[in-house]
Amino acid sequence: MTDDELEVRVIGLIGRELGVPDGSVTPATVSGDLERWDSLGHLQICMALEAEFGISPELEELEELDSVAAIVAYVREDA
Amino acid sequence: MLSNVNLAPIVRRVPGHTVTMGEYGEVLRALADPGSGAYRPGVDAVVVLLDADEILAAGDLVEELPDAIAAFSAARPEVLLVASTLHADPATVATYASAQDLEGNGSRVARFDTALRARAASSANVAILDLGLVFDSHGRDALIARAFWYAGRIPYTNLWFEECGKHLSGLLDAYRGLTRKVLVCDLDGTLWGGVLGEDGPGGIAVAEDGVGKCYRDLQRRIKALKETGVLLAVASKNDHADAEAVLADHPMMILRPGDFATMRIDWSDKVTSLRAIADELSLGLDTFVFIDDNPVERALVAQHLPDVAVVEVPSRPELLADWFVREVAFPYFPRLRILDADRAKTEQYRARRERVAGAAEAPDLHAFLAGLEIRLDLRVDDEFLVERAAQMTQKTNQFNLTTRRCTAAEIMEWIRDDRHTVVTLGYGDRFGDEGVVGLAVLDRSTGEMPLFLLSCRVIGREVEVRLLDRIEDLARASGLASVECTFTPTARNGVSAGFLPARDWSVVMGEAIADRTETAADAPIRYRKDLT
Repeated sequence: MTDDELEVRVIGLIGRELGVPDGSVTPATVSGDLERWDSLGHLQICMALEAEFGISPELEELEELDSVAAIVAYVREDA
Repeated sequence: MLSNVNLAPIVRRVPGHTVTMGEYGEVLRALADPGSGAYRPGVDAVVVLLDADEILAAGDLVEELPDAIAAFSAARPEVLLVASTLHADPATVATYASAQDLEGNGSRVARFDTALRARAASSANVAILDLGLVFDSHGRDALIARAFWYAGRIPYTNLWFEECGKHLSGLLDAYRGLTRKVLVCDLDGTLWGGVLGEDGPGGIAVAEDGVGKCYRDLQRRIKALKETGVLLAVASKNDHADAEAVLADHPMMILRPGDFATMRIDWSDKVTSLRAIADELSLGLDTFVFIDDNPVERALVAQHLPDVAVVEVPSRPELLADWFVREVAFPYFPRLRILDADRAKTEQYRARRERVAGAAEAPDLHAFLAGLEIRLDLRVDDEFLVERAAQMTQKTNQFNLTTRRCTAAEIMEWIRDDRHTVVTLGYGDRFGDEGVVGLAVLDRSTGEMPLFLLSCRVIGREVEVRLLDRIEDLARASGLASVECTFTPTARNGVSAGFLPARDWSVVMGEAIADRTETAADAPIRYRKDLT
């Protein structure tokens, strides 16, 4: 999977988990940009990442996954 | 949904239902407080789903819950309360001593589950969801998520939420009576291993050992499904006499000819056979589930009869028995309670076929009906029949004037209040006992008849007239000048359209019926009968 493909999947996953319209999430999105990316929304994104990419972030890593870029980088290294 | 942990991810995962979460950790208060979301109008079901390890750690809470559940179900009889069993982690620091401990987690969980079952047995609006269905489905590591627990009090993975949501949806479907009615089975390669026409009756695999046991165990499951009220049928390409001989005489067969409501064993294609079975049983193809090991037959049926549920059959015989329970029974035949009437269903349909055969020979309908020696049992406000009454409202499509679907709790309310009278019609004749087959409800304060239905098993025997006569008599006895009913046309109830006019009910003209969007042809029709 190329980085671009991975980014597209991550963006789709975040949009789906947060229930926001297409286009709301971009490669530059960070958690503070979206009202729905709150603490519960963040957990639901992480749970979906675990289910979709088979990754298992540690408790202390969870809060670092707070942007599209950070998630793409994490999944690329861990998956 | 009420829980002691954060179950927010389940909201999107109960197909067909809108889920809202109560504040977590507030279970007892929410059940007792009329101001809580559990008491809000429009809530159809309240689900109490508890994490066992958390509640066991919370002192006496687990001992107080069964009474709180019973109190809520009594206060809100129109709401279904679903409570989960507890599923505790058997691993504690007491190691093997936990299992011996009468006050240990295992014992407390067992007492809670027993108390819950007692409440469900005595209340029509309490149901239990066994969380073992969820926890035993994929293994603990795939279902428990410690990082999410410590980060936000979510104890489980998305896989757990998917499984749990699926079962909750199935349970609610079962409560609403949204279940299929007929299982149509192929024979060669499905009910037994091998091909009868090639291997001969001694060569097919159905036995208590070897591969044959896979098929015998599958047959046991299918027979058990029949006992829940599902009708069985055979659609097989085989020599009729040979296949019937196996069903009747093979010593290892579990399923026998009498277990099937009907059989189509000939060389016609399966689409033709399924259509013929539907005609014979007077049931729609959308109530059918079809199992056949041959993917070509499955594809043919799926393509031509899209209403039939066609289930993929595993090619490995050792998987058949488990597959049948998980992939056939749960998705297509979900049940919340099994009634005596369900167990007798196949016999009723078989007797009905004999009656139809008799009708062909009988000189005229009246002589035929007289020869049936019909016995009717009309009962008013009989609480013992409430489950059956609700089931009929959910399953009856043809002779149903209003097609109003009701839960057992709603019927019970009608029986117990002073305004409504619930009349049931039991039927028997010389071919057998059909049980309760008719239901009508009268609102004695207004003369409205919100429900009138008759099982399709007894259509054409003029017994519906007796049920309507009883309603009219009860209305007269209550001092009503007239009775009224709104006939609501559906795709299926055309057979009952002419019933009220034929009984001297007249159309009420010029009365607007609210909330209508239908075209004139399928518009509800308001009928009234003057009793003076």
